[in-house]
Amino acid sequence: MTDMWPPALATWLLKRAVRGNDALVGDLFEEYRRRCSRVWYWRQVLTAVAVNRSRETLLVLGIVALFLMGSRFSVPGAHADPLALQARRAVGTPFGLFSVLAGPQLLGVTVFALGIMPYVSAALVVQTFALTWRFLIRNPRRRRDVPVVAVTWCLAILLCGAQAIGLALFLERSSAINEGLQIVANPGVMFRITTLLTLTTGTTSLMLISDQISKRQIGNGMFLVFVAGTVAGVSRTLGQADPFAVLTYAALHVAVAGVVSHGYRRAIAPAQLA
Amino acid sequence: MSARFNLGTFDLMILLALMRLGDAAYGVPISREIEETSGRVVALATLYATLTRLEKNGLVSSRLGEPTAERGGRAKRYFRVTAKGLREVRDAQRVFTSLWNGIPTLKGGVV
Repeated sequence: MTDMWPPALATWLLKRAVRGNDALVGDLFEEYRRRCSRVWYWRQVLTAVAVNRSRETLLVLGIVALFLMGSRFSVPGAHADPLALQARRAVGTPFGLFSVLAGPQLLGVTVFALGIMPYVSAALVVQTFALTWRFLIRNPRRRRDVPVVAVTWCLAILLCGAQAIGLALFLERSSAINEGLQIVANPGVMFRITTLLTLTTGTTSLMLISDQISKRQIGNGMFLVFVAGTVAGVSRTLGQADPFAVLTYAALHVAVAGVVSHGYRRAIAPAQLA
Repeated sequence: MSARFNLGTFDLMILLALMRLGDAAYGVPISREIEETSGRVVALATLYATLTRLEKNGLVSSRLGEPTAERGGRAKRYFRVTAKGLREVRDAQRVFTSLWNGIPTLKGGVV
């Protein structure tokens, strides 16, 4: 049954796709009332999304391809297969939960194992700090604005380094505990340095892509890179992990994507807005 | 001298539809006009994307009307052909006519 109101979901999608082109939304509304066809309305909305968001769509697909390519390259000296095997065996244990939260990129110990999460975390911390700073020092003469972009980048690289070292230690420890699992061939300082450099390079390149997307006003770079990482992660997980794990992974990432997107609209999260 | 704009078939159809509709030219009637005369289904988003491009190139101009209840409180955007747009249509007509004149009469779909 059709009524005078077009499908709400389609209208919601349309409004986000056409960026304030109210005349087009009004035209579709007017024509829908004459035709009373949901199929026609949906087709028009999807065309509007394709026409108005083609650059974003292509960009996300490009970054997904980059993620998938990067997922073929593991950190030198690390063998991901035993770790993935251990994760499959550990369903229902704390490590099993960790493997779901970490996603396939981290378990594969790939170049993009840390994804863009260090940047997201750093942006949220720095922006919260900057807001608190502005609130505490209200006198503009005494207040010196926080260099948000530079601090966010530094903090993100520090976080990335700490997480990379943590992952290297975790892999070495897993090899030592489970003697049958040869996750790390030659544990030691060299392996830690290699992991640090590889993972920091991977995440920094994602941060650069994210910043360029935002600077060129194509969209919210951090959000698009994050979504692309999630899509690549889910596509790799499908058919390999149990459906519950895939759904949990996707739900967690949708929640983080929501926070990033909301923060962008409120101009508090992405560092490049400063 | 300003740069020439290469009119595509769809651009030309839109400009002609605008000229036929006069002051009442906004998204819905323009798409209907093209659908009725050419039989071609027009997506409104494609129509607006083309109109925006034509406006950027100075071939059409637009103005916002008043918001109306039957459109969910949204205003119509009326379009009209500018002097530059009119020149482009005339040029296209001249080119097409002269090309057409050199072809024998079309009968039954074959020359």
